Amino acid sequence: MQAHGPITRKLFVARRDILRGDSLFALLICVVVGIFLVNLMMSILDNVRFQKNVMQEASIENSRSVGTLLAKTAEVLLTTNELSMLRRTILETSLERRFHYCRIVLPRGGVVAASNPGDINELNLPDSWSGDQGDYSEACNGDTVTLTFPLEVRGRGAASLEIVAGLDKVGGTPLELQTAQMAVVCLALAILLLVHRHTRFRLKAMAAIHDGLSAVMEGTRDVSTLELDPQLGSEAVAWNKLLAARQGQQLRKEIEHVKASMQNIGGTDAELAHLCDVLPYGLVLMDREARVIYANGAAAMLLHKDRDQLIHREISCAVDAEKVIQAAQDAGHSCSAKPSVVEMECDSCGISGILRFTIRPKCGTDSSCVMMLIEDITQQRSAEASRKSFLAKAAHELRTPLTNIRIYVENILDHCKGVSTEIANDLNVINNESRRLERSVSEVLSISEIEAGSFALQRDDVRLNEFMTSLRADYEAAAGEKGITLRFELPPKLPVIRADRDKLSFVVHNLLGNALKYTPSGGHVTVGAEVEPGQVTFTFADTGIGIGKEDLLRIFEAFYRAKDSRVTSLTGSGLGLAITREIVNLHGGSISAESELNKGSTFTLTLPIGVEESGNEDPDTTMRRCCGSTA
Amino acid sequence: MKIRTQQCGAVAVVRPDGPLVHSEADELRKSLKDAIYKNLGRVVLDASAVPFVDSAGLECLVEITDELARSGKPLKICAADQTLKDVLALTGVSSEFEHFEDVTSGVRSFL
Repeated sequence: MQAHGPITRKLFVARRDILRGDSLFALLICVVVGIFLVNLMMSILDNVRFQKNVMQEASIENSRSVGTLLAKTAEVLLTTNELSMLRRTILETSLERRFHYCRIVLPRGGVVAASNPGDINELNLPDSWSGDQGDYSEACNGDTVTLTFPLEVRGRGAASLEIVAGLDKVGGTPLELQTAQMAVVCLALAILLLVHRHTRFRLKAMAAIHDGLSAVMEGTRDVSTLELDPQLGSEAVAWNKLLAARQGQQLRKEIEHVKASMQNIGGTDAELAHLCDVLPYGLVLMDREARVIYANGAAAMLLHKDRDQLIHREISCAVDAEKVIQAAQDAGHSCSAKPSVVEMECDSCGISGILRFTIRPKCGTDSSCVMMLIEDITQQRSAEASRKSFLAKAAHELRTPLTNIRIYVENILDHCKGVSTEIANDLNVINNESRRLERSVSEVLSISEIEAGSFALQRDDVRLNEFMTSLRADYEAAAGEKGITLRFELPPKLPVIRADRDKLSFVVHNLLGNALKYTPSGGHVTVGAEVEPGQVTFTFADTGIGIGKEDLLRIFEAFYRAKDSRVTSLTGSGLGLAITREIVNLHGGSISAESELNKGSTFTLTLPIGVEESGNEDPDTTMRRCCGSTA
Repeated sequence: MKIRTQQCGAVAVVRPDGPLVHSEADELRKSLKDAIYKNLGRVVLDASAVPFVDSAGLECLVEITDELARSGKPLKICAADQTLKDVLALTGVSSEFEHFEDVTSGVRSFL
């Protein structure tokens, strides 16, 4: 195919265009009309030329007739020597017939009469003269004809009459009309050429479209072969657009069909949007540049914006919270599966509420976006605050009478020697239960203080050797009573750390107490310690009932107790480990748990030797009070 | 009609007192819209003191329901008496509301 040069291709295209249906028909019409017009133009030209010749002949004949008559008259008047009459006749005839020139010349050149009197040089006619008589002659010279008539003046001699007459110009109304017709024909021919030039392209496009439709009727499905050259005009462009739209429609149908068959849900975008609209949570989808591409109705309500005010706008136009905006922008440039959670309190323009924004990126193969879920957690926070307030007040109100009960019972047991054994036992039960209740109330109060942010440490030097020895003394008896082997595997020397003795005591008592509590008789509980540079690590390992995987994730939450019936059958508030973790965090340490169900648990407590104050703020969750953020 | 709006925690409880008819419906519509705007949709309608509702009142309730539905929330009606329940049922709009026996239940439903 390389052998076909550009000229060959052009010829091929020209042949195809010329021979294509309506285009050829239009060309033939134009050619026929053109031939007709040219023929008409030639006929008009011939007619003009013919009429011109006829009129010239008529003009010469007229001059010849007048000349002949004038020559005969001149002969008579010259014979009778009536020069005056002759001259007047010549003059009047010339004027009447519009001769350019008319005169009577003698053989020697003398002019006896002339249409122009100035030319007369023989005022009187000689009596006789010599000279030959000339012949009649005609000579055409452009627009004039010169006629020479021989005169014979009897008794005197020969002379000649010379007439110069103008040929009548071809003109008049018929000729002008024909010229105008000629002009019209020429104009029509020019217009025909223009029309042909214009319609040629249009008809080529129409013919191409006709061919395309014929091909579709014959079953052609390949749309690319039906496309036309856009240079063929607007029809070709429109045809191509129709083809593209048809192709896009077919493609979309196929994609939807594939999606429906793959996902087997048959949902459309509109249905999905409708489903999102009935969500009670705000849902906002953003592009990588944090511009909103979709927001459901709940999002519009929670952000106090119309949807039109959200779509295609940056999220900063909708949310006036720097952390939310920053999280959305960061999510747009990462594919981290970990969501960012930001809580924002709105309190302006009479609007009050706490919103939680959960922002996470959605990375796909073809496009990426950022999803933001907005929850109204105002009521939850309000209920939580009420619960905390109630707990703090209740615990505070309970602790004072409990302390009094315990003190009075202890006084009775210490000072009243005469009570019976039964009463003493009852008082002991009351005392023990009071202590337990007091401990629970203290835990609740501690949790309330932690949640209120008023839980503080009273640091002092704590000698860990003495501290652990005291712990051993407290629990050896209890372990022995339950048939549990309690071992302390401690290094010979433990450091002195700066810590809150009472709260640290709560931590180790809680961990060791739990180990003994949930270890059945015959089990082992081991307390270990290891001193490392800058920190000391304690381990509390038991061979007890263990903790399930799901429970292990939540055991440090307040009021959480494992669902295991062996746990729920024992008394407990579910606050011990929560307070423990908080105390350890405040000391700048850490606590972790490993466990296997029915095999035992190991709690690892790490405390820094050089202690510094530390907070426990969750970096992902920050409450922010904003003014006018959603107005 | 006397309309009282009370905050129960973070939830606004709107309590109209009297039959929900004619111009009173406009007043209630205004109060509900105001409460919805200020409380981000956390609104409960205490209908314990509404003995009767006419077409204007129904239209008001349906309009508020439609507005809330755009954000995926239903209108929570509490303590409606049998007459009001019957009217809502007969007109076929009962299913558009969320019904609660008392205000406490309605408020707790936001938890």
